[in-house]
Amino acid sequence: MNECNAPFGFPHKHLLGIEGLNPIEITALLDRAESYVEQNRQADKKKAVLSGRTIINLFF
Amino acid sequence: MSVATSSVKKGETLIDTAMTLNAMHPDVLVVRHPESGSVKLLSEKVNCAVINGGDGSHEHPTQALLDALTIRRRMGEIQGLRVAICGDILHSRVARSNIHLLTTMGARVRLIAPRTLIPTGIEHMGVEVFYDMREGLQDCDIVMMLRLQKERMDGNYLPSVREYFHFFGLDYAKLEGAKPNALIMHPGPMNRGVEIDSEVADDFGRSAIHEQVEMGVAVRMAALEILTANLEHNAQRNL
Repeated sequence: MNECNAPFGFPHKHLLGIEGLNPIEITALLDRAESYVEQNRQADKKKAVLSGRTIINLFF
Repeated sequence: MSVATSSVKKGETLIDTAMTLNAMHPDVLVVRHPESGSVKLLSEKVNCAVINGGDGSHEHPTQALLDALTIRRRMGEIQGLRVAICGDILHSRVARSNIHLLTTMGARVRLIAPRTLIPTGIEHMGVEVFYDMREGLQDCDIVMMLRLQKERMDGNYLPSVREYFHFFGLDYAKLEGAKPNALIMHPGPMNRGVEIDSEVADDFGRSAIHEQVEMGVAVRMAALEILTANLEHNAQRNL
C-alpha cells in the first residue's frame, strides 16, 4: 500500500518499526493518538471502531 | 551451537505458530519476541496486520511513539529539542526506536552510557555519544533514562550496581547542567537507586513518567484503529 489516500495518512500494512517512516507518517500516528487522550479521560472511553475485529496479542 | 537453541530452530517454530494463528483469520497480531528481526519475519507469513511490540534489541515502535506524544504535549514540538538517552543503549530496542523517531523529527540526540553499553558504530545513526553524565546532560531539554537490566549488572558489562548509580544514575546533582525545565522520562519499570534516584523519579513537576503510561494507551488505540482502517481500505480497493 503506497498510495497517499490511506484513511489516516499512514500507508503501511504493518507497524514493525520507526526506521523508514517519514515525518508526515509519524505525525499522522501522533495526531490520531492525540485525539484519544481526551476521550480516555472521560467516563465513557469506549468506541466501536474495532467492533467485530479479532486481535491476537502474542508475547513470547 | 546447539540446534535446539539456535535462531534457525526458533525461527521455524515461530513461523509454525504464525501459520496456526493466521488460520484463525485474525485482523491484527501484536507480537513481542526476544529475537531481533523475528516480528518482521512473522509479518511476511501472515495475511493480517502486525504490530511489533518489541523484537530483541531492535525496535519498539509504540514506545517511541508514546514518548514522542508525551514530548509533543509538554514541549509543543520535537524539532530542535536536545534529547539525551542514558543508560543501557546496547541492549535497548526503546533507544533504537527513539533515535530513529527523534532524529527523523528534527531533534538532536545524545547518548550517554558507559563504554561497555554503547554499540560500536552507533554514531552512524546521527547521534552524539558521551561517556560522562554531566557533560552529556549539559543544556538538554529532555532526559530519557533506560532500564538497566539486572542480568547486565555483574560480570562483563558493569563492575557493580553502586558504581553504576554513582556515575550514571540520574540524581539532582547530575541534572544540574540540563535546562531548568528539562523533562525526565523513563519507559518503566524503573530500578530506583540504580538508573534513577527516587526523588527525581517522583518529582511531579519534572518527571513525565506517568504521562508516558497514559500516552501509551492512546498510541496503541490509534495504531489499532489505523491498521484496521487500512485493512478495510485495501479490501475495498481489491473488490
